[in-house]
Amino acid sequence: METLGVKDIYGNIAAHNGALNAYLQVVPEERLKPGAGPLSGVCLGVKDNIAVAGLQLTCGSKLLETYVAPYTATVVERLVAAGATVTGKLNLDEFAMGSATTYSAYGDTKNPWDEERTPGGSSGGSAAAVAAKMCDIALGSDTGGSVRQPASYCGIYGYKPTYGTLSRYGLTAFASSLDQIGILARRPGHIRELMQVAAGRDGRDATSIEAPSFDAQAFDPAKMRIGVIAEYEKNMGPAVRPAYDRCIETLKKAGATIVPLSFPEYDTVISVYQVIATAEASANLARFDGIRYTARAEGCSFRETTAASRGRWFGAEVKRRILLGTWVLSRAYYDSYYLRAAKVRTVILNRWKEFFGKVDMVLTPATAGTAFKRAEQPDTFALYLEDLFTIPANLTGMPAIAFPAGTHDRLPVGLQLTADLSRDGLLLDAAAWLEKNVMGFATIERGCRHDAI
Amino acid sequence: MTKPSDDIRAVYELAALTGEKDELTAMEGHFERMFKHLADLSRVPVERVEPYFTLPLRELPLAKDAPAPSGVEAAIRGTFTQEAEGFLVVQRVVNRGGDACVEGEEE
Repeated sequence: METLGVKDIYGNIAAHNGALNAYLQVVPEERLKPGAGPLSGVCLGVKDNIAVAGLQLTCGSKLLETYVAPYTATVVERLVAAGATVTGKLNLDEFAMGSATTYSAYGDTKNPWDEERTPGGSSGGSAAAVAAKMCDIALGSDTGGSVRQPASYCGIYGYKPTYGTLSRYGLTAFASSLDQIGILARRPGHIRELMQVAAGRDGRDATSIEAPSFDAQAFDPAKMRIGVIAEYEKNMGPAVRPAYDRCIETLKKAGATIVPLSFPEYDTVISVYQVIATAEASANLARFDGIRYTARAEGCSFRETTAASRGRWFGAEVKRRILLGTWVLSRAYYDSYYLRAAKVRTVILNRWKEFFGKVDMVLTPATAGTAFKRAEQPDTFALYLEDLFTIPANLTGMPAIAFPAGTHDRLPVGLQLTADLSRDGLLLDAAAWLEKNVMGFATIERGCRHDAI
Repeated sequence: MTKPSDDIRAVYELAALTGEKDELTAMEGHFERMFKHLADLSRVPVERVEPYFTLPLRELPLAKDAPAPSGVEAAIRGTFTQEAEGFLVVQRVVNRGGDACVEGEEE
């Protein structure tokens, strides 16, 4: 992997992190331990909900302000063993719940293309750091699009592997049946190199799976059937449409067959996600009880201490999600919401399996538009709709990659390819072909307003 | 400003959360809107459909559940400074002053 080098990366951190607030903790340059192996020289940024022993693990929450991880996530362990060096911990929405990195207790992260705009979220710190060359590559987590949406807003690649391909050991759980560690990079080839080292079974995560092959294969678009979804085409904004049409045109010219598909349940994905993700979050976040970990409010009993600690230090969005999850799991609501959402999830999985009987990959926008201004952030409810295009890959476990496909008004536009379970290699082959034939990071970089980048 | 309903208070209690009255009222408005939106789940026919709680085992070759020693236990034990009668002693919240409960008091 071609790397920028420690000097340049730390120079960029010194120059830009003050303005962008991408890193929450930077490992001092003199404390870096250069590693040996295939990833030697790679500077790795890690989202601050993934454990690295000895470094903070705040999850963007005041509740964990002083918490230091006692162990290292399997993915990080494998990358470091292959020679990568961790440069620090990256900002995120609190407990990865958000789409703009404005719900972090440690301040907003800004988009390197335009600091008035959001980098997306929840892996906004990871996306901004990669786009602004403050690391070579970054880890994020993707529960409903939290790697792919910020990658799209920052003009880089964001990849969510097939569920189980990367071990979740060491990732702070949000919604365990949806969570996957993902990778943000300036080049798809970098993602491949990381996956060759990090993917595969892990005895510490029983949902981890045998890794598919990540060796590069020749990609021939003429042999590809690419699905496009009619309902999504109606919902993409005018900023995305030209890039989407251009990408389809390029694929067609190269011989690909474009296959129209219909996804009648497309507008229920937000509801299914909201019910399932919040239900799982309400259980997962029960561990933050004011007794273990850090911040503890005063109380005369366990229950009082717990409620006071959580009430005081959880942010509003985390509370909203815990409350909704608790509500839909309560006896009166379980059947009509939680159980029903789990059944609709099966319908969605079957629909996407049916797609992959007809096509090799599905092309969609990654987001409906370009990065919005932080001062004009949509209300909480509208923000949930940001994930319309990305959620299906989480509900089905399928792999997906967001890639830069153009610019609109000097801001990056991202599209997304989704493939069938364990066909991750195909996605990376396609992304590498698109990098040469549609657009890559280097092309977008020239439009960047951050002159020094 | 309307009074938060008993429902929202009950859910706060179930979720082990506290919040000011204004927060509870705002949450009530949010959930009213949220539940209206969630009603679209009933549009999809789900008769004879099995719920999907986690990826079906047949889809992917799952790892065997064989945990390897992580060193976590030793790291955690290292954070305790006292041991009494074979138990690790957890440091209590102290010096809260005023009418607060005294050290070691439990419900």
